Amino acid sequence: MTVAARAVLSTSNLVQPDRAAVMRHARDAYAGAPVVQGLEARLAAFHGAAHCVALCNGFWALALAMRALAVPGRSDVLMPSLTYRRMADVAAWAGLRPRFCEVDPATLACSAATMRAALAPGVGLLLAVHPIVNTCDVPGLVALAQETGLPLLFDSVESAFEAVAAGKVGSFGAAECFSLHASKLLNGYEGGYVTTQDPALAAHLAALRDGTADDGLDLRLNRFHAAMALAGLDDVQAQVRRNQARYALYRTLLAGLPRLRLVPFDDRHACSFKNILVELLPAWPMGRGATLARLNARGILARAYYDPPLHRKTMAYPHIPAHLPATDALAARFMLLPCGHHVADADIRAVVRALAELAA
Amino acid sequence: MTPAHRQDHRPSWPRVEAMIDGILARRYYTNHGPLAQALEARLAESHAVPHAVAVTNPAIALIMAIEGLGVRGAVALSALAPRRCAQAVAWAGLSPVFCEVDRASFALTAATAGARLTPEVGAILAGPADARSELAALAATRGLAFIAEGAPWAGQGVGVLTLPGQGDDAGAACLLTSDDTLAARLRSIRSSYGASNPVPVTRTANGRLSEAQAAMALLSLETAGVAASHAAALRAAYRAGLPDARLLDLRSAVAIIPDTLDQAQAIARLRGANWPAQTPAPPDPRAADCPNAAEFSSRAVLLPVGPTITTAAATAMCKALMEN
Repeated sequence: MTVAARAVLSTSNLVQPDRAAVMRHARDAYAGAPVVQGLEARLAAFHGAAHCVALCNGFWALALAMRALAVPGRSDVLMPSLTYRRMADVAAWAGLRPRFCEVDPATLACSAATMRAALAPGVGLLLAVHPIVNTCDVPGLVALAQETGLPLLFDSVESAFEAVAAGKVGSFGAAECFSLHASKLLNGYEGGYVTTQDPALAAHLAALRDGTADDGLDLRLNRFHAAMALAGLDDVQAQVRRNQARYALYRTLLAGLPRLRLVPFDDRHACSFKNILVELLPAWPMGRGATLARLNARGILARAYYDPPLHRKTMAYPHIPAHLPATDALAARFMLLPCGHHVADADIRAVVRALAELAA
Repeated sequence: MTPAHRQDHRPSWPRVEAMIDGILARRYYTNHGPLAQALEARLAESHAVPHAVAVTNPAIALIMAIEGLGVRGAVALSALAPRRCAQAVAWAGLSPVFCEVDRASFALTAATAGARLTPEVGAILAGPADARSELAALAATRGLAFIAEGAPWAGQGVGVLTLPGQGDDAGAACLLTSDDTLAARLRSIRSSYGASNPVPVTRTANGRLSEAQAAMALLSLETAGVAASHAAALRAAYRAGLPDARLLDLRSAVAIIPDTLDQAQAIARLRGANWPAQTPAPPDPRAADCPNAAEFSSRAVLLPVGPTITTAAATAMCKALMEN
């Protein structure tokens, strides 16, 4: 069995808003309307944040926010190892040494406990990363930041729609970073943004982003990217409903594969239902690498979940070596299944059939 | 400026709309898609270099150039270089060494740069108005890397070219090089997407150009000849209208040093007639020992060469400056 030849199935969202909305906003961009500022205002409202600063992409949004927030004179940024494969590079551009911490196996995210265990005098910034499904322990991490006096930056790239009991993701910590890459919830072709409740920080970030601050760098967002993201915002509630339907079908079908565990969305609060993450349980008949290779050979571009973890990668820039056995174990067990705008019910049935054949 | 003074070399909206429709149909939005690949091929051909590496904005392109060349220590550049140059040097973890400019041309030359080269300097960064060929030769002689910023460059090292068509935002850029190994490194630094021959790099820099950016650049290149001819006509009009003034071609503008007016008087006359003249940015405060650069900043007036200015407008600006 192979997936329909029309396209491979990937884990990229590639959401495509209504054409009329895309063209309406693009026409505004073409005409010189302040679409970037309009996007910033709408994103701030969307996240319940007082301010939003848009940038050329999420990578540089993170780098700029790290540089703006790290305590002067401190050399290290504390972050989980089980995260975005380029995060250590981001820290290096920000002039900081990555210091890695474990994640909580229950959430696949760093927590106040895992960060506390890795704290050291050189740490000048806490970088908390939301996992691909659900959120990290926001209240616990906020409390840790208050207790230590360290600034807290959230990488919220995978949690743009999520909320916790205290409010929407995007409204916590010193600042939160997001991406508008085509694979994310909001497709702006490319792009990124930072939200914050702090007006002084927002002004500083904007000056850095515009290159008007001495230590800044011109990292402004392209106007057509802003226009595309605006069209995505128009559609985001409908997108989440479509995602939820895909997730529900996956959940129903994967229930018949007991050696595989679907990581469930915590729908007590808002969630995007975008990413489909499964854990290969000990009884699964082959390793994850072999599983992925066989799926990929059928045009099903499932992929490993953050493997290798960052502390296992070769780094030519300053960093703190780490021993993280829990992260090592988790990095070998999870994989992401195809999701997003172009994944139809028939595709999901084909993916699960392929998994069932491998499990047999 | 009245509407009669405006021209517009932008692609028409129907062409832009058709490009966006194509992107939607292909579902390929970024990650070195077909338009980005076509743009790189077009730029490599038109600039007669083997490698064009498209980048999402000029600042990141500069950082990638420095990183790709493996520069260490410090970068020598003109005290008049745009602010983004020193900022990119600093973000790359290096120090800028600001060099004096030539008294007559206000350009960075081999003589003025050579006087500031220390053992810490690992590269020379030249702008479009600088003496690029002789600076490249100096770099080669001293074993330094060479970066030519702001204008096409097909010589040694890397050229950092700003791409047209992105409106008044951060823009987009392209790195030009003849060095196969360096090109592979630049592509790997930009992102794993588009690195057909991935090579190990110290750190990546996410400089991906989107398909929308590539589309706008490709459309604008269709009228690039018209835009270039128009800019050349404006430069000629300024030169003819101000025969005794010193002119410096900065590509994004023409800088003039009026011989009978001071800067404030010149600006007052131009703005009084509603013309969009500007003064250059002051030299970086760290370039305090560069009196020629300071003189340029305090005396020069920048005249526009963009598509919204007609040659008649250029001539009128010259007349405004020549009035007794």
